[in-house]
Amino acid sequence: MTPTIKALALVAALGLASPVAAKTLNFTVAIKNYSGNNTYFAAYVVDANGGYVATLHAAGSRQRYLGDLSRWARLISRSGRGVDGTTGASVGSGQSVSGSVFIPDNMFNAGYVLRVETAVENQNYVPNDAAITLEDANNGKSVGGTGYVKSLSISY
Amino acid sequence: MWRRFHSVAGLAAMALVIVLALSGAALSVWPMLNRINDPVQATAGLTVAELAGAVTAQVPEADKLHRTPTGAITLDYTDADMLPQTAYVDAASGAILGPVTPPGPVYAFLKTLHRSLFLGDAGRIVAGVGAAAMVLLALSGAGLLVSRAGGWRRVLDRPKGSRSARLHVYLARLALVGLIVSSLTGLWIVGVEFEWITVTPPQTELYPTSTAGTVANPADLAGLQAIPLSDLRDLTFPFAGDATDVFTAHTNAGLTLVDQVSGAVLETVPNTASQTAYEWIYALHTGQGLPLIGLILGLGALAVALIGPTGLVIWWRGQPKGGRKIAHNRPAQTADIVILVGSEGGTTWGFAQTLHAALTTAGHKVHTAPANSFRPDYKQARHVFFLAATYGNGNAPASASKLLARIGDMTTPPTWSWAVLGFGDRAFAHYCQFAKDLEEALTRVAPRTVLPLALINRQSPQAFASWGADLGAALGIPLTLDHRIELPQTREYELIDKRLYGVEIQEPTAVLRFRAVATPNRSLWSRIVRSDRPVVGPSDLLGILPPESAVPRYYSVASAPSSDEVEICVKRQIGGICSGMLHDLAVGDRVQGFVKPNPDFAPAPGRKPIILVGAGTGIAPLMGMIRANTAQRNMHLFWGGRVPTSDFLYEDDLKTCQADRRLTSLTTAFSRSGPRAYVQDRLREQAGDLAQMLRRGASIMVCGGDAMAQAVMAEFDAMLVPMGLSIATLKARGQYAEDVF
Repeated sequence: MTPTIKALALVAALGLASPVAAKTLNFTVAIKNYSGNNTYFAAYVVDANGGYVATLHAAGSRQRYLGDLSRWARLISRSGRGVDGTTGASVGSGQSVSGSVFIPDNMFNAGYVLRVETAVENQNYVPNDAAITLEDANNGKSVGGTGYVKSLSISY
Repeated sequence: MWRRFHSVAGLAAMALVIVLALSGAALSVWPMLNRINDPVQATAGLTVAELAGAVTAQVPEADKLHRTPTGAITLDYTDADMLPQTAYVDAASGAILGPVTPPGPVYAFLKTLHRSLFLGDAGRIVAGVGAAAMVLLALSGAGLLVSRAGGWRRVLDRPKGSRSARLHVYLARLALVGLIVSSLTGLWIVGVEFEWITVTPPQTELYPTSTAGTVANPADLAGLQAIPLSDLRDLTFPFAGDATDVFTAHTNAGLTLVDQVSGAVLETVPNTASQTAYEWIYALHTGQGLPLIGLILGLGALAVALIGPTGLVIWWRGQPKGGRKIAHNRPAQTADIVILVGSEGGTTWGFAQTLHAALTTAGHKVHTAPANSFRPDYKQARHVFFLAATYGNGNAPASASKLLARIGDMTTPPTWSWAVLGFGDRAFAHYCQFAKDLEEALTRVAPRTVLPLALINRQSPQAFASWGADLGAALGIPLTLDHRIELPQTREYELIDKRLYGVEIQEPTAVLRFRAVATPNRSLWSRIVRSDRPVVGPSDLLGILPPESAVPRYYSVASAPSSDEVEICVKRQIGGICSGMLHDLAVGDRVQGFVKPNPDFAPAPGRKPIILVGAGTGIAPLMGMIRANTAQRNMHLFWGGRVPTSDFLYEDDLKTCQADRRLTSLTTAFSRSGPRAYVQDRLREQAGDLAQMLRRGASIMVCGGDAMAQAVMAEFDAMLVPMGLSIATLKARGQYAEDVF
């Protein structure tokens, strides 16, 4: 299963004035093979200081369990904006999710990081599962995860 | 209709409910294992600040502290390789005690099976339906239990009926409350899962941020120092590298957010009522934090594995064999004879089929229907026969629930004459009560009867055949009611000993001892399905099939428990096919027979005295009980015969049993010799002693003819009334049992 997420205007999410030069960022979160319930995860962007910017995708249909992604939930709460990205079902072992968003040009090569945190019921919550900096060196690359993420890749 | 609902729901949901119950029972073990294996920490005098400070010194990045329901403390952290870890920690030092091992694949398998049957969200709905079915089965079962027992106060009386029925009731009574708790809480959890029920955890509107400055050692933060460790549920550390983040603590009171720089409490949110309810319901359902309750509920769930199949057996036995279809059933308005069936389970239908077939053969146009279809104005009907069972505490059975009201509405005498035949079980307090009520109601409006009320105890084919003979005579037609009931597989019994009594007084009575003939070539399967009862003893019946008859005669077993020998007592009946055949047997001859349990005529468990009352061959089951009484429980036998020199059955054996104390006392009455007396006269003479025994909880067992049983009951009733007791109470408690022939 590889659902393609509809383009999200992160530009608008950030409340930036239009028109701003923006690029399409494509990202893919691939989940490892493991046994157990599906993975809940949040893929979101933080700035160079770790400050929350925006959520690209939240996977998991039940609000109760999304709350288990506790750091992300705190960042969301503190942002006061709610989940601003797309949402979808939790993701099973060996599956992946892809999506694309418009991101302002000035967020590339400026220390912004796409981070994924994951949780599986009865198993672990992994706040630092995978992270990749939005910079040219990583364009078309992928990084491995420490928990349930097999790979996190970006291209633009 | 409790019963209809209970069986339909039970049949429909059985497999599902059993899967849920068994997986739930297996899962109930884990909370107790955790309680045993978890390193439980003493928390007295410790604060969250000390522990938080201590663990940050132990690991590169602490994520979350958790106090488990068992009382251990675990820490989620990120190790030097950035990998997530979970470990037990020591409450006082913060030292890592060892990794927390996840519960493993068996647990995961059971939990997924229990929650969703591996079918995802659809499976969760199915599991919810199973839980709902369990709630309804438990409630309708409780309703049945009450109506069968005849009121709340009698619910805990000894259950009656077949082995399956008693096991079903025993287990259901033990497990009932637990099953209702488990299934209701399960249903509630499904509701929360699907957000039909809203549970709001304590949460903040807008997460606060810490003040700017240097992040302090958690041990020095006043806000954390103020939380005793014993109050903590979990503590989430600020995100590493984010100085604005805060400590998030869930305590027994609610949510507390603490500034990681100043140590100030930024916000407290008290626990919501819905969250507290959720926690209790979750703990009750899973046993997490309540391991003993969990195990008890688990045992209750385990009982479902037996409650279900025994229920299936009860339902199956209640089904009329060969269906309820009546061959040659005429329309109600053209029939000259109408048979109305008032039945709860369906066995009465079998008798109706036999009667219908016999009357049709005799040339009548017969209409058979459920009793609720009764109408006073059958056009052609000359006779209406009511075959009526009784339900529970003397109530109308399902298919006759409206019958009494319809009869009560009749204003003019009908054109037809009628008869009522009642079906019941003497072991119940209100034996054939509905048939009696029906007879009374009909007598008021319809003067012409064919036959007076007759009662059939425990589906006796002989009693039915005898009623058929009376009916045939009344109608002036030859009528043979040969009602066949399904027989167990028979085996051969060889006569090994024969003693005759009563020949001199023209009342020949034989004590016959048989040995089961070994049947060597039986397959393993037939041994399993039709296993011969390994030990045959008192409270069993030996069924004998006379030649060229499908209707067995039952004789009480008079021998002590034995694996191959069985003794019975048979009086030769005038014209009796079976008793004649048995009396004509010579040692070495063989008969076809089978053993049938008679659980309602077994001694009450315990050591309290038993008063045994019998007359004639009614001594047989009592003799078996005395012979088996090697534990020397107090047994007092009252027995009535005719002439001591001729029909004193078991005279020598009784003396032997008295000598070795298997029999405490023996009182005899002889009706044709010396000071002529019946056994009930002896009871009256010893009323004082007997009353004292009854006061101490003695039980009574009566075996013999109908007239004798009635007289004995009257004597005991006279003793019980001054004590504020009655035969009905004793019967309900399992302290008064009758085997009447």
